[in-house]
Order: sequence, then structure tokens, then C-alpha cells
Amino acid sequence: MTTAAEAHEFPAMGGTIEVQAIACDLREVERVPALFERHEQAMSRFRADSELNALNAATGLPFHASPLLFDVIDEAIGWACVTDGTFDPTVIDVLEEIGYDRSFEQLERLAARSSDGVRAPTVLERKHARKAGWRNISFDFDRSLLAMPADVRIDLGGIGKGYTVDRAIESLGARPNAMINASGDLYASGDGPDGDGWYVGVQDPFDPDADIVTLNVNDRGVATSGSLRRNWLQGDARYHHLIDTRTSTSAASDLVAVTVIALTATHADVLAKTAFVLGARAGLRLIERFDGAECIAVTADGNVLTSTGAGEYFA
Amino acid sequence: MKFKKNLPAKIGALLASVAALLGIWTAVRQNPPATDATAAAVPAATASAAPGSSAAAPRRSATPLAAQPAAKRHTRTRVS
Repeated sequence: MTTAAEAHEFPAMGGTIEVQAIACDLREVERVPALFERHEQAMSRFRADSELNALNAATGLPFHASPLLFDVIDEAIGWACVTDGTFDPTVIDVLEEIGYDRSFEQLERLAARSSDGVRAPTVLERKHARKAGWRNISFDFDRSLLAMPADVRIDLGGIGKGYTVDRAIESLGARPNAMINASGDLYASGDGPDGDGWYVGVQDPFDPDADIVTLNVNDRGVATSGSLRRNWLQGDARYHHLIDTRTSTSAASDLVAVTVIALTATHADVLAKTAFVLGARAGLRLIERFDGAECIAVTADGNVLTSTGAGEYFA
Repeated sequence: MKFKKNLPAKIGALLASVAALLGIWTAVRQNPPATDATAAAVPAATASAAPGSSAAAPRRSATPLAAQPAAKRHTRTRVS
């Protein structure tokens, strides 16, 4: 039986948010845009008055964070621990050094310009940027206080959308029959409009209008990370936004895109980025080690690799 | 004393153990065991590539998977 889905789209977080909800409380569905707005205001580094920017300007002093910001930073640092720093929310200095100092929409508008004399960071500068980081952030859980060294700043671009999608799904109730897709980071909850799950096309990174496969998922997050969309020229070098903390610059991965299916959108979001940075061999091994996670990776020469259990999700 | 008599040998054994552990740790860090055939068949990442070199890889489409895209689709991922 097909059940009519309430479908909504609205702009947020630099893209389009798509909500499909079946038999959900319409009032809750209508609150989803406000939830995204609250999260963006807390987490964005591209809004001068965001709570994150206030934290980053705290110059080493304890910062009283909202429960939302405190929780998402706690989650991000947890992932930095789990991935031994491959996922690192404190690479903001590197992102700015290679030119990702404004929203990608603004970067695209400036793409036609040359590098206007911006130089690549020296080795010493990179070492300085990396000398402190996620390991030096302190949490006071009782008082919701965060403290970090003055030269450490946080960027939540690697986790914010997935985290927000998970909270938005939760806001619709316990296991709602709904799907929320934040520009590619999505969670598909419940049994879908026809009762046989949600069908999710996986975009071909070389041909944005085509899919390489369709997934059939329920109660899973799906996210894709890659280098072909968010990239830009600075000087003679082309950079993208996925930073390899071992080299403090854009990852020289042999992959161009990684799609991860995982227990939550947050997991999928973080694992897709981490697997991309690690490359095909280590990235797939990483995914194999996470319960409930599978991946589809596309190499630079167009081969498609899958983790052991990914085929179970193919429609 | 017996302890002093065996001290050099004991220190030698201790150093050998530490060296062996360091060797194992290095090997595991650099070459973790394969967990499945798919991953083992994949070539290692190209460490010599320039920053973001994969960003401009010319290619018309990815190799199709055995499972073709289904006719039904509710949404799709986007590379971000």
C-alpha cells in the first residue's frame, strides 16, 4: 500500500534540505526548518554571530556552551578519538590556509578569480597549526563548560549536517516513517512510502545526473563524501575540503567518492569523510570494523569498490 | 650476588623484548591485517599524488555495479 508522503524542501546549511514524512505529526514536520536554523546558528563557522564562532573567539577561556553545541562537540571529539585523529574537527587553520575560508557557495562565486597572491603555508606554519588540537579540549559536563587552548578552533562542517539530520528525525517521534536528506547526508527511518523501505540513489561522482546503484534502506543513515564537488584552485594547486591530518592539506586519496550506510546519519557522515581520507585500502578496512556500516567507494580511475555487506542494501 | 651476576643478560633480554614489541607495533601500524578479500584486492593509496589531485580526474562515469539502479527512487545522495 502506498501512503502519501508529506514532502518539503527548504534551504539550510548551504544546500537544500528535503523532508519526506508519512503519517507523521504535521506540526512536528513543520518545525524541522526551525530546528535546522537553530543548529546552523549554533554550529556554522560562516556566520559571524554563531555560537561556534563565539567559542572559537574565547581565546583559551572557559566557554559556557549551549547543550546543543556542547553535545555536538562532544560527539565530534569522540569521533576524533575513535579514528585516532583522522577525523579532526580542529583543522580549521588548514582549511583557511588552503582557501576554504568562506562558505563553498561564496568560494564558487570567486572561483574565476586567481589566487590573488595567497601563498601556501610553510612546513613550520603547518606544524604550528597542528601542535594543539582535539586532544587539548576540556569538557566540564556538570557546568556545560568547554575549554581549549587559544590557538585551537573548531569546525563542525564534517559532522554538523549528519548530526542535525539525526536530531531532526528524532524530533518526529520514535521510529517515524520519514526521510530527511540534507544535501546528501540523510537518514531513512521506518518502512518508507510503500512499506518496502526507502530507495536511495547513489550519485555517480563523474556524472552527477546518473546513479551508480540504488540502495534500499530503512533505519539507516547514508552519506557521501568526495573531492569532485567542493574543490578549488589556489595558485597552481587544486584543493578540496577533506583534510588529511597527516599532511595538513587536502587528502591525496585514490578515491573520488565514498558513500557510507550506517546506524545514524552522524556515523555515515563522519565515516564517509574518514574513509575517503584514508583511501581505498585502509578506508574499506575501517568501514569493515564498524558494526552496521557498509560502503561503496569510487576510485579515481572509476572502479567501484564495496564493503563485504554492502550488497545487502542494493535494490 | 646472583641478581647482579645476571643483570647484563636480563637487561639484554629486556631490550630484545622491547625491540620485538616495537617491531610488531610498527608492522601492525603500517600493514594492518586484511579483513576481507575486497579490501585486500584494492591497491594502496597513491601517496605521491599532489594535494587534491583526485579532484580533477577525468572520467565519464564510474564502473557500473552488478546491481543496476532501480526504477524506484525516493531520494539520492550527493557528493559533499
